[in-house]
Amino acid sequence: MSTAQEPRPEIAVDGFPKRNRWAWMDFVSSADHKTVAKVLMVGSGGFLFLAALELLLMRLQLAIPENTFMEPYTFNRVLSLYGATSIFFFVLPLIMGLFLYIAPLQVGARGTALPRLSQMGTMLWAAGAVVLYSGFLWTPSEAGVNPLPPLSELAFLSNNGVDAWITACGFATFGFVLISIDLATTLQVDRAPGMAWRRAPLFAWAASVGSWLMLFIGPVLLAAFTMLMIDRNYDGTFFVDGAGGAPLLWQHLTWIFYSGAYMLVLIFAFAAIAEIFSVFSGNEIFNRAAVMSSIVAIAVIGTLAYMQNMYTAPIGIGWKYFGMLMSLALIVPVGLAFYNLIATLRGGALRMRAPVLWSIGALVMLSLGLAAEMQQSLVGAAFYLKNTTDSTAATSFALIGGAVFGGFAALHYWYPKITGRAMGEQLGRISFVVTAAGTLLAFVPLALAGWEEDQVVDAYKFFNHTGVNFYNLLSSIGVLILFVGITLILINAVASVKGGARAGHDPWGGDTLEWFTVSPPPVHNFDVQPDVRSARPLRDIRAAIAARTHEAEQRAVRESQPVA
Amino acid sequence: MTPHSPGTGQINTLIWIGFFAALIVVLAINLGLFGVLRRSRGGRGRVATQPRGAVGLQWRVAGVLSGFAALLFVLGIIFTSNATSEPKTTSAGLTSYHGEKLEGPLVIKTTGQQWIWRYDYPNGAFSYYKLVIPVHTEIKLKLTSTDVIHTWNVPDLTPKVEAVPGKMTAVYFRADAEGEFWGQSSTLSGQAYAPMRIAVEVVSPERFEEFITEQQKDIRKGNEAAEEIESEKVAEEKKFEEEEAPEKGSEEEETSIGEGEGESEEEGGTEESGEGEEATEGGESAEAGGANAEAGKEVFAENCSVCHGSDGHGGNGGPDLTTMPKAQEQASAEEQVTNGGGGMPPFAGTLSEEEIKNVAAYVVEDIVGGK
Repeated sequence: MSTAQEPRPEIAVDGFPKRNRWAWMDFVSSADHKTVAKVLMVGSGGFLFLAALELLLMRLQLAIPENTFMEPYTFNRVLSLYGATSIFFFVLPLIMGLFLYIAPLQVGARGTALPRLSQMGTMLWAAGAVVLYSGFLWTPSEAGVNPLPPLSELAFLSNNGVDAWITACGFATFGFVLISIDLATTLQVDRAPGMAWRRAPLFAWAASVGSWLMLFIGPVLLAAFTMLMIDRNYDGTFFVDGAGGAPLLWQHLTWIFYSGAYMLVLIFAFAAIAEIFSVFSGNEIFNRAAVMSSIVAIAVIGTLAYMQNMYTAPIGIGWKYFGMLMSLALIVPVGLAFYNLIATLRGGALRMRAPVLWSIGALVMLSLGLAAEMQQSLVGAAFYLKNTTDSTAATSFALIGGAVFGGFAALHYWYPKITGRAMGEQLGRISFVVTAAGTLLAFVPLALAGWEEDQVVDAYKFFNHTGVNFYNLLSSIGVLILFVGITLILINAVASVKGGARAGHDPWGGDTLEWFTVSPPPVHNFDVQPDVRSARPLRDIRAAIAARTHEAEQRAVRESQPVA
Repeated sequence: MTPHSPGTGQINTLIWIGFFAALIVVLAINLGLFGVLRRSRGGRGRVATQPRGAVGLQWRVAGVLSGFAALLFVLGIIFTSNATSEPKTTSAGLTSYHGEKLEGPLVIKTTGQQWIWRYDYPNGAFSYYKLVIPVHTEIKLKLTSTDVIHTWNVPDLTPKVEAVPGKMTAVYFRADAEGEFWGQSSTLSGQAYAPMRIAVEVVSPERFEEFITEQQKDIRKGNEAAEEIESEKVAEEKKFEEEEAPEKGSEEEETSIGEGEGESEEEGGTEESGEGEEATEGGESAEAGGANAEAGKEVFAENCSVCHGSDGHGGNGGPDLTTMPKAQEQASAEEQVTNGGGGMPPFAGTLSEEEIKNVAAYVVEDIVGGK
């Protein structure tokens, strides 16, 4: 098919030809990894607001006992919407967006290897968002955060809510899988000369591991969604008991995905915090080899621990012990990650800027959440604690710690690179304090209500005289504060696009290559791809420039001396 | 939770072990973090001087963490297997059941359905909502579900277990104290998930035998009542067929009845075809039941308001009765109360025929009729 074309004469123009299109058309139709990632991040910010709003609505209903603010089905709809919004439309796109924006820059790539895949993935994700929220036009799903069949089967929820939910989350997941293919390929083949994995930035390493993880877990969830879709619309029997199907199959498939996504949040947060601690304390990451292996171990072992979510399901006790073994084995890599992150700070000269504050907050919240998860991973303890609000609190601490605190640590850190301006420092500190106070006040009382009084999850009301009135009121107030905090962060992020202080291309004195290019980076990222000789290439470049400047000064001094 | 069975005692201990382990973890991380933070703040021209870390140090840390994890794993297995082992019936428990010596556990089939639990005792007795068990006796609950996944959850007595349709899961436990215990299903099962509560009454073995006998008597009575209604219906139907001319279409039959009877017939007459005879019956009951609705009010308050709400407009799991087609007329309301269906348990065993008639009259006239 290919025929050699005649060489054409080059058309010389003065500058680039002006394109007669709106700016936003360029924005949404570009395949550049930075633009695509920006779409994901901007969208995820909006969905963070919606998720916080939905959580606030549910907590309003649960502020007082036997409240009639919401009908039961309304509560279930908000709950289902909240689950999908927070996981598929806030947490994962924020993480994938930051990975996709930063990691190729960090390895010195001039673009991604398969940009159209990322573009397509983002479009699918956006389509999913439209489907999920257009569910308001008819009836949203009432099947909960994880729509377990048979409840999500046609026989029990006969409107199209569940179909819309599956389609929305399926589109989003498929999008993440496509983005992961692009990212994994780019990080594998497009690293700058000299950048072996042992010299690659930790965040790029986490992006690579996270992409591979998504390539494994994403299709599993898509398979489950497809089966449920067939069940609902084409008389399938995958999850129907007595017809050769098994309701438990859904739990296996979806928990693999949800556990993997949980681990994705952890490795994202650990990697971002490692970069931030290293840059702001002036130290290198303490024992980076150990942190890199911990990240891989967390991804693998944590996903294998998925049966930790099925302790009360009718599966063999041996499988439950296997789940417990894997969950507890996670103590080793997670503990090493914590240890090395904290050790990175030792002997450093730490500048207490907003990214560091958010990182410290993330570590504190993660320590609370993961310790509580460890308690829940003991099979016998889960016989009581599972599906109480105690487990909600544990998961919320870990995910809010990883995705909100870790995510905004990363956003504060990389915001100057993305926009050319810094996020407001003062508002950043205020929003941090408010968000941290809100999170603690929202979820500590819930943990106590779950543990002491067995308050169950997902219920649209709780009864008077069950001893949980005060806890729930506190928790609702906490969520209100959390909502204010999140709104402040988002206001800060939006206002700083135009109003932030100009930051220059390397405001923090970073060590990795994304700070080598200008802010915001040009379409081709780098004019020159630098040679990488260590894990902190930019520090090497700075040192080289300093040495040369010094040399030049010396020479100038020498030459200006009058010859005796 | 206050454990009242050997298994939940073990569970409680394990929760506390987990809590102290979690406390150690939280303290270690946060004390380490803030200790380091205090000593490594920058400023005043301070230059970072990082201590070098030996690889050996990483192995030592990993070793400590592995030991900690292994200890928790072993403790977890020990206490979990204790919690799931079968506790034997003691001498103070139920040793014989209906004159037969009880070998092994007392088996009670427990079925979750939207949104109530049903308990089938040996020998055909059954109950809804409240489970009655003898104290000091090994109980085996065989859990299953007829519709969606429900989680059996009575924290003081048993571990939490999912009842999955098509699967039979066994839970063994032994209550060590008499009294009433509460629980709540803990997997989202639809609209009335939140009020899907569980009551367990632990009674003495003698009282348990009495309870079973009473239940059986009630069920027999209920079945007889249901049969009577059924046979009346059949007789009614025959009479109806004999009276009406064979060439008349069913459409015309209905309208003729609707016109012939009083106002209370209007709704019955416009029902689907084939229910003409029920409309007749409905008319009779409603006529006879002027005072019945008063009595039905009490029955409703005791039996139905749990789910349908005190005013019948739903809210606690049952639907709003004014929206239910079967609650529009006497006969279909009676049938629904007697036989149940659509998530509602049959009341043939719990209520007498008269009580059912009264409560149906109350529903049709007062709640739906808006009196």
